[in-house]
Amino acid sequence: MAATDGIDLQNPDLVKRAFKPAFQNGEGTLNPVSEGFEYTVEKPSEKDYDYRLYRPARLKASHDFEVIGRFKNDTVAESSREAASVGIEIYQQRNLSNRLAAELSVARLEGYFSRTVFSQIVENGEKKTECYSADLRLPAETTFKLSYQSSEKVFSVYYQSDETEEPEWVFVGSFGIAGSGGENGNAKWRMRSNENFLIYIYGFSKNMKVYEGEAQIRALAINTDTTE
Amino acid sequence: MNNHLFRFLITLLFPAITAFAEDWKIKTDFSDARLLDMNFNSMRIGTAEYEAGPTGCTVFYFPKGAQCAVDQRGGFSGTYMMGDGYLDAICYAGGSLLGVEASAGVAKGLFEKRKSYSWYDIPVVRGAIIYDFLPRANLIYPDVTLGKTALENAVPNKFYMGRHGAGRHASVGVGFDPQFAQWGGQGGAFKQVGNTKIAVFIVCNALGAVHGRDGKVVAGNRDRKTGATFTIAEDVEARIESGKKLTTSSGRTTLLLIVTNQKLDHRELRSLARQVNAAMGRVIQPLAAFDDGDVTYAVTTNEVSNDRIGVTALGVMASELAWDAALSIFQK
Repeated sequence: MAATDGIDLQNPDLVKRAFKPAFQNGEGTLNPVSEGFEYTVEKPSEKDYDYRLYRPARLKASHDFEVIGRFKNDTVAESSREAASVGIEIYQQRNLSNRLAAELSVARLEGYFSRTVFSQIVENGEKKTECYSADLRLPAETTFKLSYQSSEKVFSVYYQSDETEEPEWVFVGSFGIAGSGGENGNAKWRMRSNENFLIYIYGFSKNMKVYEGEAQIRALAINTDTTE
Repeated sequence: MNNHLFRFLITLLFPAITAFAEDWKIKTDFSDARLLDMNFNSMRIGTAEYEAGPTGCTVFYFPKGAQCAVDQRGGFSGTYMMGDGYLDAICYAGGSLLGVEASAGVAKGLFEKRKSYSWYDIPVVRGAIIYDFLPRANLIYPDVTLGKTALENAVPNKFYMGRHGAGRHASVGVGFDPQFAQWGGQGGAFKQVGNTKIAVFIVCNALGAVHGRDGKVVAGNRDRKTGATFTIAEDVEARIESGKKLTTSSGRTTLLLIVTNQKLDHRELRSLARQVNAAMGRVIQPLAAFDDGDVTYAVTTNEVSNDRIGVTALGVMASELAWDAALSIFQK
């Protein structure tokens, strides 16, 4: 049985209470908009970001769950100095140096403009491994899914392109957090079954002005397994 | 003698010197110009002119980069980094071979904007020029400053039609006698089918005359006294009969640019450029002559897939748009 963690993103008061400011640098700001948040930067620096912690989520390592939402990233990286992304990070609550991120990222890869779903897993503050969507020029809006399988302790990342007539989930990669099971690599978070995950949403950019309407995270939903 | 009279006399006596003495004032406000109705946000268009020429340049900037293929058919083309592959911008300009400097100005503008000397960030700008020194008869040409200014003013969906930008001092239908020429300019046309967008731009400074959909001459090859028009073939026959010489007086050029957002590979892009260029033979007669510097670029921003539109169909649509673009120059 799966239940949805109902996030009423239409209610600004609830949104404010549900998404607490966490880490911020430079002028990067996540602002509430209809159905979610948008990331803006007025005066860019070498590293701007804004993270918000999603409070209601109580996700245990012993439960399956999936996080679904929509990313929009219509920013333009005009050189390799510039990049911008919006994404979601899942942290081990007892050790915030262990985390996994999935984002819609705009950058220049070897000089070429790219828009990819990018994911990486971090152990003790150091990146263990990463993966990109095979399509390096994704449309500006994609639906993402980050699913956690508790039996294998594996996270999998998927996206759907809104441009296709019959959208289907496209697999990006998977990572194990207990040293095995991931197709793209594994980390050892040493996480007990009764431990919790935390969810953050974020916007990040380098040397780039990000205008209103360009970078958004919307329609966030968490589906949890209710069986022990 | 008042100042105006003095300047007028000096202009008559030393037109070139006067041109250099002029303040090369840049014009970037074209609020009175006809705008092309288009929706192509991933391309920015910038226009700048030296009114004292008059001459100018038109920059097509692709902030996310793009891929191109070139089809060069003119007997004497003036180009900057002509070739296939990646590009950040295309700059079409007046000023003949001096005008390629404007392309360097676009590269300079991008370099300063990017503030990066990484190999991957070196701006790739491609350019081509038209010979537009006649009948203006001065030494002003689109230079580095003008190209950079056009880039700085580049915005989506602002393409000015008529005697603007690179087509500021263009003329068409010169044929074998400049007295039969008419003003040319730059034109454009846009079409969207599903998620596929196609925009075609032309800078028409053709040796040949421009023909309408009915085959009749629309611009150039016109007897100014009688208003009568004639085809280039009719002119050749008439000159043979009357014993007049059949030589041209100066080089001319048609510059074409086809831009689509549909994903195309290199072979498809090359084919698209060739197909449209060949189809332009219906519109400009003669086209790609020995005395022309004709250059056609096909560009894709590689944004959308559309398996319902093949490259040949894309070429047919772009060819019709190219015709519309040529005719748009002369619409009021």
